[in-house]
Amino acid sequence: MTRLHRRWHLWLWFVLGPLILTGLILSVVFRSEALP
Amino acid sequence: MSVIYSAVKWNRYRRIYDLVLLAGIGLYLVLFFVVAKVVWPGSHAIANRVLLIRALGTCALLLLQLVLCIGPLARFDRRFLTLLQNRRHLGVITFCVALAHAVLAFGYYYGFHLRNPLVVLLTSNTNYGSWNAFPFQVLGLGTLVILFLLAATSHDFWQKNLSPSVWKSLHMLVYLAYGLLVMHVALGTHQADASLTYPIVLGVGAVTIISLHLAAGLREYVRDALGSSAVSNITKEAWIDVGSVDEIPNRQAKIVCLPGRERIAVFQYDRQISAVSNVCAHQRGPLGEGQIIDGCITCPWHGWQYRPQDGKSPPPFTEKIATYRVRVVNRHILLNPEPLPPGTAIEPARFESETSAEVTSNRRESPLAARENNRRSCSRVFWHH
Repeated sequence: MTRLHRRWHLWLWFVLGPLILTGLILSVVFRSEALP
Repeated sequence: MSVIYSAVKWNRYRRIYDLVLLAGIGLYLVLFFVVAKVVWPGSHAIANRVLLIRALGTCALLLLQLVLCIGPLARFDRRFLTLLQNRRHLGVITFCVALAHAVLAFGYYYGFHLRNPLVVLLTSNTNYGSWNAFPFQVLGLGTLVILFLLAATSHDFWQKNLSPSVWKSLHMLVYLAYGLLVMHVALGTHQADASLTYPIVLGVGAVTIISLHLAAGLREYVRDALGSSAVSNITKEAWIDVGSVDEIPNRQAKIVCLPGRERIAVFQYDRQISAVSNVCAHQRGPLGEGQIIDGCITCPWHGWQYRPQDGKSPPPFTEKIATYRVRVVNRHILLNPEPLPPGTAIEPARFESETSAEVTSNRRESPLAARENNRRSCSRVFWHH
């Protein structure tokens, strides 16, 4: 990869990683309320 | 490489790869059914069509997770390069499985509406502010659209016409697709299934993928930073000592990192030294981690080739990469960091064979070990007046 792509890739995962994990955690936290 | 565009460049190895993959998918679907029948017997049994929808959906999720792991794993261990070289097939098959899941789910849940099922899907549930009733189907649709875009452009024709840079940027949308898919599954199961199986599978997969990508990205960042810290204020006329010719095994390269510049691959072959850009013109693969085969630098990712003397692919191919001026003084390689226009012919720097033979006999390091060392540490470079 080019230097630009390497940096872009790294920053993307720094943003996307916590977003995905936060979404997952929230979906589990609110799980009990959703189920019958 | 091929002079003409073909949908799939078949060879025996790829046929075996695809057959194993398809057999694995078939086995997974059968196992899913068997386990589901055992876990939910009798009156708790789930309809076969729903089971198939779930089996295909989870299969697509696992395949996408596998696709996303291959890139960083190949950065850490060369044995995964084989999977990387066939990643396109895996990506297209992932899309096909996801499409089968979507078609079945679409028909099952929306097929009996009088209105257009797609309109129903997009308009029947607008609880975007609710965790409990979020329209997770829209996230799945978004994933499918991205996967379709990637599968449709997984072809050298598109790569050539979009340019490698645009193509690579486009295909980085796979990370967004993964994020959407995780939330599609998390919110979908959240509304229908009390067990924690799905959240656990999703969590383990997400942590693995995120960790691998961050670790691989940070490793490359450190390599760039280490190389950059060794030199500063590079001028066009500078000659930089990038190390001894004895450091580079025959027909292999040393990768040089310079501040604010692309990496350079310095190849040693038959007592000659040539330097070219480390970036392959195809998919930006690291040429310096490849080797010289049949007189050509061969990219470790997909086997694209370039002549070390001029950075041109051998005829009839037309790809070119930048070359660099090099010379050898007292068995030290001096490199001019200014890239020459792609395809510029440069006479290789030659050195005496005497020590080369000595090096061959003294160095106990295998070519593979040498390549691994090259990957682990970016070369330290020093000024030469």
